[in-house]
Amino acid sequence: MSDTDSGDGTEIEEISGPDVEAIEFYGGRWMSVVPIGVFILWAIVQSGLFGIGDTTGLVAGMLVALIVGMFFAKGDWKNYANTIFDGMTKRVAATAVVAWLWAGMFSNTLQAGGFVGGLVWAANAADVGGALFPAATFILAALFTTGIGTGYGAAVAFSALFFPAGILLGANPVLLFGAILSGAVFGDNLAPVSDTTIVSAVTQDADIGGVVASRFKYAVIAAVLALAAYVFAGNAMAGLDISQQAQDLFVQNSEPAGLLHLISMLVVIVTAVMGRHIVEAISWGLIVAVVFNVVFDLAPLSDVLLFKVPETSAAASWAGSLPIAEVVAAENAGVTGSIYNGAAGFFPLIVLVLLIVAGSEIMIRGGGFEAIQEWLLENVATGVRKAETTMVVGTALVNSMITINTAAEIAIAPYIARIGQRYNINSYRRANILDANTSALGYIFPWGGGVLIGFATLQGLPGQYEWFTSAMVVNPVQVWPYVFHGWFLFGVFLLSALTGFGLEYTTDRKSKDVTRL
Amino acid sequence: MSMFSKFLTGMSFRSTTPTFEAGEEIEVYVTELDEESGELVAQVGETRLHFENGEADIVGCRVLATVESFDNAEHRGRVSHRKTLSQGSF
Repeated sequence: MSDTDSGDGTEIEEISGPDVEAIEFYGGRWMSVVPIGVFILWAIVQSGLFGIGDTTGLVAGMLVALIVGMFFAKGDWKNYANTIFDGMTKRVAATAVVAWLWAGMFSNTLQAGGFVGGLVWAANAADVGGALFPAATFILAALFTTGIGTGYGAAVAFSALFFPAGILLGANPVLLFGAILSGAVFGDNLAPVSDTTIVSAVTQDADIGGVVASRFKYAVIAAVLALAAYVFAGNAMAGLDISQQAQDLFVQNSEPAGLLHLISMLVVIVTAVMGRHIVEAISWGLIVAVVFNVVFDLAPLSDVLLFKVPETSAAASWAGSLPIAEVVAAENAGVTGSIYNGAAGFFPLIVLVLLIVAGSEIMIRGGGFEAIQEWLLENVATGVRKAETTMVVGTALVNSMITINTAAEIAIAPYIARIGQRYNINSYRRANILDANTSALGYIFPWGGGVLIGFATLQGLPGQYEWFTSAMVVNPVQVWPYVFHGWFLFGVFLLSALTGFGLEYTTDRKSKDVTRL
Repeated sequence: MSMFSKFLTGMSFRSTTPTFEAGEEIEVYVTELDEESGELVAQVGETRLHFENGEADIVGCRVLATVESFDNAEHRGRVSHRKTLSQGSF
């Protein structure tokens, strides 16, 4: 090599790490696909067939898959076992873990501060009727998800509050549920604190702020089309006639000051797009959110962090006077609050990503990854347009099978990276293709994780409201055609791949834009 | 790049055969070792850039290169390898 020095003393050998040992498998290199293959099968059965959206269940699946794969490895299994360690310590996994922890703290703090209550107030103040309510719900759910980053959280919050209110106003139930899921798609795709946004950026070597800015154009095109579709369909599709008032429901849950968290959300977005590290960007957003919560009485400091000190503790006599501590019975001792719960909420996903990256590493060292990649490049992705179309359709297909969309995204990400790099497709573009189709498909099909979580919430409504009958609950098989933003986003990317709209090459932007998180 | 332009970049229909100017400094992933010419090649869309130097172990790596010449009609160019920046993802 003529020149491998990066200019700051970094040699390429240091970048790549020590030489790695290949793993041989009985049956050839294709058998190295077994761990990931067993996991995908497990995920399809668990989430697709049984309808169980339990991330820790997928962790169990990946553990079993790694054990099954070991029996196909030749020779000393020490090499196989060490590869698991090497995969789990890869920077791509660590980066996602760090970003998720920060995003979780921020997201929970916004929810503790009544962000959804602020949006309820906005909906009430806008005073829209049943025909326009699905369109308004789409906008507000999109804003909410862009703030908190989790479409699943938005599906729950909006199904619990906006759905019954919309029914009372005369909105069509199926259309309304579709609008909620569409808003979840929008935010899952665009939010810098979204788990899928983070995975898309770190697996494609792109910074999160740049990724958010570069995908804005696709998201807005799809959103404008979806909004028009909700306005049109809202007027065309009849609602239910219920002699109850939505006003009471709104007033009970309204918290105008919760809208202040739009500022917390913008702090993160603007800081990230300005080029600051995502950890710094979310930290500023978190600080602003905590200050708003306390100063504007949206939530006490104890909702952000609370030490539940056991009465048997030596500190019990004075700890209770602290704003972030209370004395409890010994069996109730613990730590809680949005910082604690936000981070802890990501623990199963963190373990899952570490194990999936380990499984991928086994597939890479066993040659299975290369075999699939060669097949794709020789038979399917034979030009840049076909490569992009393969990336769009491949991501959509995997997400339609593995319905916990972050897990699906992690599984397909290495192929998007390799196929894209083959044609020098810019990292932002690769991240955008990966995330848009992951976000969209996860909320469309009846077995999708986001759809099932929303459906579960709707099923609880007859128990909460006397007027709400089980006939008003929207079945997941009814809603899939009406998740307009999901369909339009997929369509925008399919057309973009076929026509070259938005296509950028690695030569179009200097690396300083894509080397930091 | 300003914050505003970050949102608007890429709002166009891009060719499958991007063009380059001699003397231009670019960052590319090295795609393959061309069997016919024995040269390293970076494929940018359908445009092929042949390396005048560099060894086979940088295939898949992101490198800094200088465009020495470019044929707009054939979508072919010659580049020189300046520096290896990083390995590709995964």
